[in-house]
Amino acid sequence: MRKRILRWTIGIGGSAAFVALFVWAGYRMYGPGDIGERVERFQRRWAPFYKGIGDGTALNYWTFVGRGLILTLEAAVISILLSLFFGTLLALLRLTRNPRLRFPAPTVVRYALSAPATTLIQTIRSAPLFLLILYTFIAAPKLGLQLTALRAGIFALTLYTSCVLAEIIRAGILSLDRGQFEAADAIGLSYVKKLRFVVLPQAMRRMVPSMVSQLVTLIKDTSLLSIITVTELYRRLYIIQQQAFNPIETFIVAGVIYFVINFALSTFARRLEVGPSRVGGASAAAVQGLGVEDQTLVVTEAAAGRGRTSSHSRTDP
Amino acid sequence: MGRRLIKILAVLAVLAMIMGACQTDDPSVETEEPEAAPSFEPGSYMAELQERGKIVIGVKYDVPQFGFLNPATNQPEGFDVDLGNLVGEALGVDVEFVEAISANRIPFLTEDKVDLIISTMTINEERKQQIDFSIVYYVAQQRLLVRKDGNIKSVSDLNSQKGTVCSAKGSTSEKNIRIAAPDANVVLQDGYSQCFQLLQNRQADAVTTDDVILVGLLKNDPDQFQIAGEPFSKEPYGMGIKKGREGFKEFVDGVISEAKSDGTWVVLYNKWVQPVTGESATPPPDDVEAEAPAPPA
Amino acid sequence: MIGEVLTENLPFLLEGYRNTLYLVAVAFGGSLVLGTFVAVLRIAPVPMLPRLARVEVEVFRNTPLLLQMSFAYLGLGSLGIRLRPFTAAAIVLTLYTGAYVTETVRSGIASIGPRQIEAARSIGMTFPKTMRLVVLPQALRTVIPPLGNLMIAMVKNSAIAASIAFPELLYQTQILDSRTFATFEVYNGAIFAFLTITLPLSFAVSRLEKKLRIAR
Repeated sequence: MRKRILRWTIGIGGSAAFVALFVWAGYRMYGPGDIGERVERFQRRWAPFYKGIGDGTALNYWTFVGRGLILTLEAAVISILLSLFFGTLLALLRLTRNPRLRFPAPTVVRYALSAPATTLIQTIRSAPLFLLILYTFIAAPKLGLQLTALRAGIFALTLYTSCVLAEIIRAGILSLDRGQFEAADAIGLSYVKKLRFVVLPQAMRRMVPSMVSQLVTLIKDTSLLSIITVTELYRRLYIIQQQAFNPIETFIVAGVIYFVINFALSTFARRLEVGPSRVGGASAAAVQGLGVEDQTLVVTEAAAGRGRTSSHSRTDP
Repeated sequence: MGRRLIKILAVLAVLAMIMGACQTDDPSVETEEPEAAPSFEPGSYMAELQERGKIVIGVKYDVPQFGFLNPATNQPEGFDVDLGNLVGEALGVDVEFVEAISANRIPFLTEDKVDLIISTMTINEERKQQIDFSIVYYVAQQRLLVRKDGNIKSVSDLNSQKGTVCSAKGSTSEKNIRIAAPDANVVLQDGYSQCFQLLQNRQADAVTTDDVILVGLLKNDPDQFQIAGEPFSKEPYGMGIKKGREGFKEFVDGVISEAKSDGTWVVLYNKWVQPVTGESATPPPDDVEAEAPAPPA
Repeated sequence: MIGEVLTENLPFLLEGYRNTLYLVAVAFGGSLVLGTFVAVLRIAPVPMLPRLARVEVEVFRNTPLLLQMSFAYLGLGSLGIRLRPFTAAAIVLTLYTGAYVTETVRSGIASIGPRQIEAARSIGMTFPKTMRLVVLPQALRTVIPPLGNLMIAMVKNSAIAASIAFPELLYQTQILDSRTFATFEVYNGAIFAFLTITLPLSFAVSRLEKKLRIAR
């Protein structure tokens, strides 16, 4: 009984502190001054989002933000699709050296294909994405790479994500049971047919959650394109700030929009995850131990007393 | 599952295409009926632009009054933008505006991404090495915006008290304040509304940039803030043109001169700047030397 | 590729390099502590707190870091909590990476299984004690490689602190670029400098992974 009281005290106390923090923050934010002044500040800073400023209605402002959101999603979706293609290509190039896939070429050729792919993957994955984006926009024109801001952004995002996905795909392929490769060779499938009908379908299936996670990451990362003048979501809210002087309020709006989309996608990703029992061959947990920042985590909620097991993947934080 | 993934991706791809189609790629294409377009010598840059039918101009999107992407209309507007439209009209071509930030505007010109830059750009020797400038179309002065109840009331206060001052990355204001107040702590942000927020928060003691922009900030809360001290630099704004474009600078100069003499300049000033500063003005002379601040005595 | 601009301004860039390392060291230490604490909260046998912990993790994982940085620097300032860019960047990186640490540590805890927890509790150990003495020492050991990966990710993410004027490597690079116009050279230098941090780290992590895999 005493224990129970203690638990509830900690629980309620903690939650109350949490709520109090927000109430205090809301009050402080619109100070100093009496309640009237605070309300006036509150209304002025939130104006774009419920009544508009001057000739611009709230609808105008939301349309403006909406256009940015569309551009954000567009950049993210185009990048993930391109990255899926180039990532698979890079992974296969890197794997030419691996004996398990039996790439039909002499050893020298296999190494010649594999080495540059490996170097590219490792280098790009180890550089900050923010720097890559700035580089593509500001420095690369001197190399003759002439792109508009949006294209430069998509280029940088695709380059980076391809290299991250390449490692996920490579690990996905290597996680397949050896028997799968041997069987494919035994029935005389060509290299291409082996990939198309045996290896890639199985590997891809295991990587669905990682892909969706990568999309979430991309949606977050498109905000970096605002720095190179792509008028996506974040940039547009920043422009509203310059007019309405409400950085905090616009950040809150941006945060809520990003959160809703990404949380929905993450939840969707978790649903897509397949339990170990449903995966053929090796268990999904074998995709563990990937390169730089990708991990597949097996999360058990058993400790919380729920006894539910789900494999949970996450990619680049 | 694999099939499902492919289906999902296919749907996403289609959505992306629809979005792409729906979106008017650039909000800033303005179509104006070319009225009796003047003709230029074949081979001149003006003739080239007329053949192409449009001129691409880089402006700011985040400086209200000069170049600002207005959320209400989704169109860029401001003093610089209207001048850009004048150039387009004089050529009889459409004008397409793109955003030019301090970090990219000179490369934009040298790499032929834009034909003209009109983005509150100060004419100075350093930049003249890389690009050509039109005649002066506006002269701003750099000043400080401070709290009324603060200790810092001038550049020398800022320097002697080692105050924190905020400005924008890559601006001439940054360079000037480092000369005028070498002991001050300079904090650089991407835009001036962030600087103003820092000032409100007391994380910065002052904001420094061109007077017009400061007045725009001040309008937001004149009870607590003020513009302090004497102006400490002179910033003549000019339009940026790529070097080696024979005749184009003279043409742009002509457009500016005409606007100055026929009253258009004053109309634009009264439309964009006067409501903020409350002061009237006359067009600046064509040739104004930038004045860098003096280091503290 | 390496020219005068880089050699002449080496001290300026090295300052940025040092600041990057310093920021990551502080924030990563912080995120380990915070992340582990929140992971424990998520399975704590008290009402409501696990839910709040989950909300915290989801918020920080699902919003852009750029936004979090600006918000902490400008937003907390307006509440009278006036942070210097370094403090704001360190706090945000701690929270952001902390959310990922939480998930990682949770997976480590899960790998131990509920039986040990039940056993410890049944011999009368309190929940905090069970965590401190039985669960965490084992759990943390199993997740060392993924934590190493999070550290690499943090080095890369620390570049975003440039947006709130913390003079780390990228910020110094941008300033140098605007002063010298030697864009290409300066940016190449910056990429190279970041690689000197991240490549050895990822090499170390993959060695560690292999070792642990063999040990199992």
